[in-house]
Amino acid sequence: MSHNQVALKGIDLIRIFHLGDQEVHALDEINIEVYQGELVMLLGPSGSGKTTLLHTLSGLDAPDRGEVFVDDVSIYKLNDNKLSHLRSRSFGFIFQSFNLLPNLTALENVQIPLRITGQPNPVERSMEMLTRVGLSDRAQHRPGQLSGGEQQRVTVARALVSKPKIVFADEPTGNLDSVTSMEIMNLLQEMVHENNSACLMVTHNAELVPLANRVLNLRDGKMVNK
Amino acid sequence: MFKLSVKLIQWNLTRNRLQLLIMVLAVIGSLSSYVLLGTALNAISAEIVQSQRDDWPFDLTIKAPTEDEKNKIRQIEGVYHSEELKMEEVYFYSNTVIALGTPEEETALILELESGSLPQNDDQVTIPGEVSRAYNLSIGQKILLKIATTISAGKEFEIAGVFSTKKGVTKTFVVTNAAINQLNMQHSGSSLVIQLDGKADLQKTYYKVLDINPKLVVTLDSAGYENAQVTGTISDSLIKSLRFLILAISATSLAVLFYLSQRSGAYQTGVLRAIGVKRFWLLLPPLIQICVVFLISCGTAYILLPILSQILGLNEAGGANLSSVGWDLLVFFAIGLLSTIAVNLQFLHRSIPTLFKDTW
Repeated sequence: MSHNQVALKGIDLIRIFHLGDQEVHALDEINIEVYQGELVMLLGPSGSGKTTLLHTLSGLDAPDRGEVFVDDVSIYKLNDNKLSHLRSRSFGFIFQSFNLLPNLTALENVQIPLRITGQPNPVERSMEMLTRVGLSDRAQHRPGQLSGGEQQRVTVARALVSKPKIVFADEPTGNLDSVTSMEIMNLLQEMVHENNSACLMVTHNAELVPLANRVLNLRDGKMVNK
Repeated sequence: MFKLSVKLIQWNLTRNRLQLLIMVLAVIGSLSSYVLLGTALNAISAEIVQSQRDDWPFDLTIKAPTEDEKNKIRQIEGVYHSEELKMEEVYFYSNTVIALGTPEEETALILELESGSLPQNDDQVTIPGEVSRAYNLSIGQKILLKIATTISAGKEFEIAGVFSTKKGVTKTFVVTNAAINQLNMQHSGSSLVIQLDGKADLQKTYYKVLDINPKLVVTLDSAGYENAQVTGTISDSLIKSLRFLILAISATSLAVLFYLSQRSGAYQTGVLRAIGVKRFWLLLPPLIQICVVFLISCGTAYILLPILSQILGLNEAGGANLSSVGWDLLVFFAIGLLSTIAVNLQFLHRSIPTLFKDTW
């Protein structure tokens, strides 16, 4: 796949939150394109709209105005079932708080996206992914038995097992120490490039910036540079 | 997806065992109140209805049915009480009155005496208090009763007792059963008298009796039954209101408990929605959970209720019954299911970022 192929496009995105009598413009006419194979970081102070933009681009929160395109499909024109299907097929998610189901083993957690979409050989493919992230010997362990770094590796494996077009990561290293953070980031970068996925990541951690192909700064809901 | 759904169901059931226990206890408590209050109120209602009866407390009188017909009539829905009475229309002076054979012990007739006793032999009669005053009759005096439907000399009876003039006390002449036969050699046999429960329709019951045998002679006491029905309607409304109140409170409590249960898993639910699990699959675990809760609760309540009702004196002999428990359980389950669906649909329709932010 060409590096220049647009994986995701947001046009004139506006998102307004109403807090009592006040209107907060979380996104103020944002235009953004993310290309296949690139890792894009969203930086900005707290309240700048990074997470809101991530949620809007990933189909989790419809904008008040504007559109989001994936493969020339305006995703918010899809009904909930089709949007859920799109997310399960084409998107991978990595959250700050790991979010593994506590009563499932690491292997079962990784299988979730494959089982949702009914893809073949979920066990084998998940095991391959766990091996890739260095946790093949921990496959039968539950999240409570894994360290923070190990849990985040499982989350990375889950996000990438279905070879998604786009990976959305919201502060993936927020709960990790600096050494583990770098390990996770290096792993993510490798795997994203291997699969030629696009990756859009929100982070506060300026140390991770060198790993990005592109850095976007947000301030008060606006893109200040590209 | 089915396998994942099973795991989600397991997670839902086991992530907070204390909550599950509270839900089970809440359902057992509500269900027990609903059923026991219903049976208690129904029993009270039936007593209230019957207490409003006048001196002739029967709604239908069926002349000389066969044993088989009597059994069938007793099975008709709405029949509260039945008894067999020997009765004849007799002349007393120039009046036509009813003479009854001595009723059975469990009679619905009120036989309160002002003086004397019920007839002790075939030549004695107990008379109404009003007749005693009107004709200046007293114990020991003799009166003549003649069958109204035939030409006969009649029979003389000694007055053995006088009934009270209080409201509700019978105003009939009571002789022995043998004396009825002596009065009318062609006496056709006992009549079956019926009390309805205040809810059944008198006309419909009449037609049901005729369905058994169209040749039966049936007399209706419409005026008396109307009074009983009014009282029955009032007490019925009270029962329905109280039971509805219990259902409403139970449904609200269950909805709150389920809402709290779902809130505790809001973040996880948000993540599952984010990675593409459809709402239907996330609705399934709480539905299964409510089924499990009800299965455990209803099973436990079904065993406990008969014991509880015995302890509280609401057993079959007291007039109350637990025959509607199955139907009550179904109503309760339906209410629980609807509450769960409503709460969870509302929960699952929250935006995913809202679920992420839920810091429950």
